[in-house]
Amino acid sequence: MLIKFMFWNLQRKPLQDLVASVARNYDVDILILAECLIPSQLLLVALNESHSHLYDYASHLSQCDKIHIFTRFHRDLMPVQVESSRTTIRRLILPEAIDILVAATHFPSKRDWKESSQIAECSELANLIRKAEELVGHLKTILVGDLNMNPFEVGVVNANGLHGVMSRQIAEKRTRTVQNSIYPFFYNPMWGLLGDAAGLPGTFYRSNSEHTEFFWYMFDQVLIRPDLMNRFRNSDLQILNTDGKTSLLTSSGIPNKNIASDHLPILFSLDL
Amino acid sequence: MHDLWPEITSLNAVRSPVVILREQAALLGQKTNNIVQASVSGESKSNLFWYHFYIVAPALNNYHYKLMRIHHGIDLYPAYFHLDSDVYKEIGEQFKTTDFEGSTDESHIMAGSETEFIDILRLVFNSKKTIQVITFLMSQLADPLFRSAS
Repeated sequence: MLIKFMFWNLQRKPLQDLVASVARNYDVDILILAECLIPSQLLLVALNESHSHLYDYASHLSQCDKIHIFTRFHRDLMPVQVESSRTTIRRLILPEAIDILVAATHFPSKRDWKESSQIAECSELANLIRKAEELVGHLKTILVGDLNMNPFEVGVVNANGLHGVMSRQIAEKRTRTVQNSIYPFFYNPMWGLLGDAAGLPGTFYRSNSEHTEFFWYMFDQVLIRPDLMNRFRNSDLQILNTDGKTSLLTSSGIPNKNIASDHLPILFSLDL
Repeated sequence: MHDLWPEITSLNAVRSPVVILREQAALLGQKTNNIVQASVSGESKSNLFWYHFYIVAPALNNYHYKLMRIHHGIDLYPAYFHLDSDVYKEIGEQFKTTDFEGSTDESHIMAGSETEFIDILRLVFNSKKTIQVITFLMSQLADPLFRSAS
């Protein structure tokens, strides 16, 4: 069963119609949103306008205000396992599919937190994920969200952080021992999308007048535990720039904040 | 042979953070007839002791909400609270943030003694976010529709 996931940071804008058209166009099964202030009823009306494959709101029991999840499956099939105010970790228990954990998060931005705080928080997130894995007894986990960090930043790379590596071959080793502590890997496929060789160079654009400026940032990411790598195809991972009709970019090719968000959505699939 | 050890009981005059946390965790269950509970899990690394405090609803698919993390060194105090960000927004401003191992973390609060630790814990437990999580979980489990579905 191929399940399509989409994550989008909506920049607190009333983009319900655009979200709905993107979700319809790409046939999204599980929609994960950050900075979503759209009332769930309003978004459900937009998502379900076509009356086919109705969406359900899966955050009704969630105490995590930063992430909202809409799903084409019954909401009871994505129960919360572990949460904090910034992260929600769900079991995904679909019939005739393997059970997995879906961790979704919205990290504090560099505007609000120093880099050292983001690094410390990655360790906290890693602990939260391991708690959920301990409770369910498996390591079939994906982590998706706006990390407000690039794949190469310390918090995402550190062993005691998210331990996201760029290579499947390395991730297949499952764990690494550092100073007598064992740390599980995540495979981070976002590395493969950095730069413009594969399409859009990132999910967020900024241009500040300072010496160090990447311009394009890969803040919105999905990371995959090794136990799910063989169910994930890199070719299914996309940074979206259209809903099929309307471009999400300006004429200069950067996210169009006037009609959409300052972040671009990411789309990926898992064969469960 | 002479016993060279000191009186061991005198070393336990101060209650450790984990003892206080576990006492309070047990009390939450008593207050809610175990509908909502709390759990404390711990680990130690590099002479630091870490404890993670969760609010738990066993009947709601074993839902866990992480309220805070505490850490301290070999000396029990100072102990440091790393709070859920919503809780920190409510109560954190009245405390000075502090450096820990050379880095500053905006959501760390330091308790210099057992008394301070208990005072901060009281604030955390009585924060709007904590109360919201507990009362929400209890209301879900009191819902007859939920009970019949489960």
